Amino acid sequence: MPMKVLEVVDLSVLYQDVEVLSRVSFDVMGGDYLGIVGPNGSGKTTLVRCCLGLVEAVSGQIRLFGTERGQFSEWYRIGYVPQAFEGAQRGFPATVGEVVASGLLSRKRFPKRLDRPDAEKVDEVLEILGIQDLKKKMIERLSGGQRQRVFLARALASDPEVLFLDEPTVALDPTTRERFYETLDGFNHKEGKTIVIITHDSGTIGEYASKLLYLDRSVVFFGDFGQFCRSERMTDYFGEHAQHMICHQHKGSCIVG
Amino acid sequence: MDELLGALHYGFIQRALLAGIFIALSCSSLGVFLVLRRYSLIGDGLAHVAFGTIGLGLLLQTHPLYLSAPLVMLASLWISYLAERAKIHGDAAIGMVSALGVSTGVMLASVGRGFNVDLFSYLFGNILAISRGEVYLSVGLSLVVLSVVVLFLHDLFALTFEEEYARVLGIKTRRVVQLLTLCTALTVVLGIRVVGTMLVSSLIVFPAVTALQVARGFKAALVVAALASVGSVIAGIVVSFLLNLPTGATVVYVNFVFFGAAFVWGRWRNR
Repeated sequence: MPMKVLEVVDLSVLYQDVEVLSRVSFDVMGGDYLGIVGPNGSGKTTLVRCCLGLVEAVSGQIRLFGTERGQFSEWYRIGYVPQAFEGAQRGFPATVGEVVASGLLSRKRFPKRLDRPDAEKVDEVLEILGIQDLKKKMIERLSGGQRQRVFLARALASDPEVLFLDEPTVALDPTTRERFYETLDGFNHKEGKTIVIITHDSGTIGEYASKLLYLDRSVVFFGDFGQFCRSERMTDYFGEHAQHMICHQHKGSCIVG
Repeated sequence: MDELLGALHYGFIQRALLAGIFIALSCSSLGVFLVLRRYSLIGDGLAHVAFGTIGLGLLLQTHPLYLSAPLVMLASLWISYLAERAKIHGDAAIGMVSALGVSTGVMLASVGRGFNVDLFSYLFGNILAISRGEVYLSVGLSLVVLSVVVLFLHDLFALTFEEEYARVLGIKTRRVVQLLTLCTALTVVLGIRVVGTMLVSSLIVFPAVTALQVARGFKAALVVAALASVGSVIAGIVVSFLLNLPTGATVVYVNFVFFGAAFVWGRWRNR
């Protein structure tokens, strides 16, 4: 029986007195591949940031691996690829190797030192993602696609059990995007890592994700893709065309129209 | 050359060099983090606060630096508090606290008329007049600052690169930022001896921006900043002695020359 990686119960978040998330509840089990989809401003990023302790909730509960988020300390079990901001690290003098190595800090205790096995781990994740040649390059000189792979490598460095990704493919061309999804798929299927991904690629995510959370400040739908595609309630909500767009590429279980 | 070697035999030059090198190392190591966090003006703000606390020290007839260290550290925490809790941007918080610091200095100078000259001597520093006790204090406190940087190096790197990500790594970012701020306060107080309150932020900013022109990697940036900082203090002390120039201003000019050279080299390399 897979364990609950994330439990969100009745979560509400206010931003400047406006409710941006309202009574959101869902679970993520070990091995799940959850796609979080929704329109702009629907609270997707806020939800993930809240799960990771970067945003405070006004009410509700969040448990990570069965522990209340406030008490949670095993951060090495979590990998995070935040939303990319163009120019956020402009002028920062860090090499790819240094950035990826920082992902190992969640496994370290004071005084934190990075030693030879850590350097080997950095080489290992760079190799897995096929970016070994970038190790000594400056992070600010990379293309959007290369940088996303570096941030994924940083998230993978601590051997996390779950990966949270916030629109990781937004700056990528279609080919690179496809490769990125395939890489994630490999982590999910071959290594059993749990994936929670926010995406605007609603037409593509169905090809990879096993579960869907459609958010619009509150949960519109949460469940298997198959259920989503068969749901008459969702047909009423989205209209047949939009529902089909979200699930038509999904392997197997979609029966619409 | 003989004159240069002769200068090194003077006790006061040796003391200035010893204290200057350690203070330069503290300033440059913190400077890289502060500049990258776009918080470089905190040095300037805290130096203005130090101006006020030096005035208080002179009024109370205690050694100004002994009183300045704890008070400027408190002010640094206050700036952090204002920026965090009072919904005031960091630069505005620095502006408020530094204006209060200077006003306090001017008020106190007006009250205790006798020490105006002393107070204003701290504006531009005079490391050649540093006493043996001050050298010990400067070296000791610089070692404390450098130890903090070494012990928290990776945490400081992570939070400077991306503060929110650092939190997801389990780093107590608020505490580390406070530690960085406290160390900055301590370093500013020490730097006043070298270049004075008016110029102390240059010791923090210049070596860091010089390093950012040429460094390829974060550790490389720390090393280049340290070399530029130590080099500028040594050259500044020696040149100012030989040419009878004000030491603080000479250190700043040497820093500017280093920056110019790094800028040109960086551009040429990246052609």
